[in-house]
Amino acid sequence: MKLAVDGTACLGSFGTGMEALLRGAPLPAVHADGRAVAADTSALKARLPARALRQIDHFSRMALLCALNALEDAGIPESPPRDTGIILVSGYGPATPTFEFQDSILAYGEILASPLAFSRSVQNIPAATLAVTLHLVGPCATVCRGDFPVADGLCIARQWLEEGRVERVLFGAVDEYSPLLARLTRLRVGMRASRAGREGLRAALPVSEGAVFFCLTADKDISAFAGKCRRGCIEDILFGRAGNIDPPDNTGVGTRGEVPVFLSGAVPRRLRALPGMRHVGHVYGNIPIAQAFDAISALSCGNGLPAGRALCLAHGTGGRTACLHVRQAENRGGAS
Amino acid sequence: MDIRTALKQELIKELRLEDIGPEDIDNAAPLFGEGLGLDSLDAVELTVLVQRRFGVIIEDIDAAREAFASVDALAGYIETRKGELPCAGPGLSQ
Repeated sequence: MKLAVDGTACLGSFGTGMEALLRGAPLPAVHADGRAVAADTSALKARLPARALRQIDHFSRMALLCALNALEDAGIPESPPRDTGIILVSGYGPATPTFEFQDSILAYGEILASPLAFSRSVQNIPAATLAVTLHLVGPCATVCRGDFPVADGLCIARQWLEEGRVERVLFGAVDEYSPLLARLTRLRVGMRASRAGREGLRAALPVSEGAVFFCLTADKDISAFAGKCRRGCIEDILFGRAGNIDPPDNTGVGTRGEVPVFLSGAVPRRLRALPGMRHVGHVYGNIPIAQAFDAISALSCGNGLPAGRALCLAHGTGGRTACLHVRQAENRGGAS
Repeated sequence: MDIRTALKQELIKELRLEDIGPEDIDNAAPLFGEGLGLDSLDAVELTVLVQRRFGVIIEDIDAAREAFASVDALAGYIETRKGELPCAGPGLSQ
């Protein structure tokens, strides 16, 4: 079953919206520690009461603003139908509140640690915040892992839609900047790069933050695809161990220049030189949810895809890959 | 610094009361509901905050109801019980 993408939205260190992402300007590292600028969520203040926002941290604000923009893009009101599920994926989850809670324990001990910091550090809180704010009562899940959080989360979305548990999934990928995680990321990337000649594509990128949201529905009728989905569809989600060079060979769309391949993750340097390979990480930075940015770029890049199709290939640890087969809507336009 | 000003600064910082200053908080106004708009999660945080900053334990719901009525009430509650326990963090004297 394919996932129809009815609405999209993104924000990050590059700015807010597809126009900012597709502009393609390299993301500058504006801080001494190598990070890019923080994502701007100030637009939320015009859409929600200040009291509703007070206890919502930066990670959840990115998720909330991006979710609202995706619903708007899909033509769905801010209170979407109740049979909507939420899936939030992330490399690290709400890292800043987690470290704040740990600091609180170290400073004051277990008894006097901050209850508010604890509540913000609970992994599913950002997804629950979305559910409460948008009045959604469907299933609500968070997937948090270093390799392939986007592909794993989309598999769950596909399962929910296939089972008929929900009519729609609000799918979000979010990661926030944390100085500690950025330091560890740079250490890890440096170690891997020197060890195996990998990481060449993202090693020099500023550590960034951001969010991508999709409004997904089931697209069971292939023949009715044309014009049905506003943005396109995710035709398949494939996992493999592809010799670190090709996308999984069961995508059925060919490789090596026939279909553009958006690359992210621990990509071997030699992949960059192959025909059809694209890497737009310089726009969104070094971020665990890179594959979501690649997917939204592929869906929204107008006539930039020769056959309206692309593969978004993420390389994980141990040479494993996760590949999204993305197809633009036939009436595709440019950025929204 | 007097205890009311210190309390207001702690409330603003720890409970993330955005876009207001200590001067905007009425000493007699209710902290919860229509006043500052705090909620039950804030009450738990405030209980911990009072213990670690001022060394005063708010033992039960009745004590909390009395102490959390307003800044004035909380200041009074702390002043009459201050020193029961050592502060866990930087207190008024610092």
